[in-house]
Amino acid sequence: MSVVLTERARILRVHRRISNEPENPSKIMGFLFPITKGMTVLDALLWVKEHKAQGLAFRYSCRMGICGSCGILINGEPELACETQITALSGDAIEVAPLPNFPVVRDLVTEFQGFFSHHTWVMPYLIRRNPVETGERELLQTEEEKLRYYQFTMCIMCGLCNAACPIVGVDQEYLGPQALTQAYRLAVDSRDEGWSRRKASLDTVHGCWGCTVAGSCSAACPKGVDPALAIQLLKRKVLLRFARER
Amino acid sequence: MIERVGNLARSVFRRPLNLEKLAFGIQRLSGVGILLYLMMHVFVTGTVTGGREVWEGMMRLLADPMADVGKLMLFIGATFHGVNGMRVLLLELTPLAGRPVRPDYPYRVQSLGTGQRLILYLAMIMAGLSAIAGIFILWGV
Amino acid sequence: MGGLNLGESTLQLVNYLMIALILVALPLHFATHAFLGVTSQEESLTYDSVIGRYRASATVILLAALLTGASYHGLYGLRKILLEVSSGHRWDRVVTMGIVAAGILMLGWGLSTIIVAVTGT
Repeated sequence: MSVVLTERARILRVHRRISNEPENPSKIMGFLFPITKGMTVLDALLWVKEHKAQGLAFRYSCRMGICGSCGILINGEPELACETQITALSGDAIEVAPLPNFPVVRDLVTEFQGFFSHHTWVMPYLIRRNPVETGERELLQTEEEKLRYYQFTMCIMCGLCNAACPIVGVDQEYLGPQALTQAYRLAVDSRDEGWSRRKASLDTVHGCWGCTVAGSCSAACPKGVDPALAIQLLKRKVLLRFARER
Repeated sequence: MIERVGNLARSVFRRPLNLEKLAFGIQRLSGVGILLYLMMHVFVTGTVTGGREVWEGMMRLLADPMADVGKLMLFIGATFHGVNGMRVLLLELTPLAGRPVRPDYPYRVQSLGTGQRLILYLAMIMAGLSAIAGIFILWGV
Repeated sequence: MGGLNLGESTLQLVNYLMIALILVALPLHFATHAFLGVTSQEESLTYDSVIGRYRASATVILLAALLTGASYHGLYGLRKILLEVSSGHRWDRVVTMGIVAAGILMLGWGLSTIIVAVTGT
């Protein structure tokens, strides 16, 4: 079958897989789809699902780069499908694949349970010595205090940083850029008093010291969180062992 | 374990293909190489305690041209490892990595900023220079 | 770390100190091959030249320091790599103990070389 590619049509090559087992290796299926103005990769996936392959599985929700659901590999690069314009991608074919370093559930859907469990491990919530006061009075903070961690609150838990990190792919116990960034975000929050509880899990070879400053997490992050910066700042905080702990 | 090492190798060449990640890969490789050399070096220098004949016998063994190629690779690897290691040290311990700012679009990734990139280029240049110096020293070209 | 309950940051701090030691000692080590009466690279590797360097007290301290620094830094890095490629508490202990054993072996061999060379063969 000959395919006529025009400037109004391109091929979407999708890595499809039923499950993450060796006897079901992934196969690549190509779908010709029409390009419309302002079309994103997510729009292309939705068009293919509606017109060509109803069984195609992928995650999405907000369609505006804020929920972090649609992270996939687009032409080998971990990106958000809803924020990647078709016209910004070169070549006649666009290849989409599931994120690496995550087990594949089906097609482009990956298992995030390990990712979430690492996040939970760092206790990603404010810890107060007196829990009763939470909700009973305001915890005041200056603008300068807020700016120390505000950048790292932009994380949407899309998982692109963990997908890009070379250590996450090797060390399954490594907490990963996302969890470590959130650990730092809380460590320097003036309202938090849980540093002594968090520090033990961070001060290990699978914690902040597992980071080798490859920087690909920051290169992949779509929200400017800069996880590599957070982890280096976390290392310094962990090294200051004799600083007064909250 | 072998699968994980393969994963690591693939990860280094997977996108995003930033220079810093490639530097990490070379840092690992050169580090293991230098450690193996160190172990061999400690063993070889230990033969001096066996007396003149033992020492000169070991030197004759190491007069193989392949040993000179190994030494050249050591010069290059050790130079890159040292200078890139300084870059990593500075990123970990000093404000070279940047400081938290309000993230306004277009986002500027501070940890991959110009300062540390220049040090990385310096590491590559110095590795090249040590290759040239090594060729002069080893083969007198 | 193998039951000693030291935070990894302690080991990392020592690693930073060893890096500083290497940065000072390694150029000096190269310099001793170029100076102290040596005329060429080949001459620096002759038996008399090597023994002569061992008999100079400053180079003895230099060599011991460089051996300590380089061994620690190298084996610490190897430990990090090995702890990544497999997981589990037992594996962590085996790797750490193996690395410590390798370090003792290297230091022991190197320091004994220095002591024997200095006291005369």
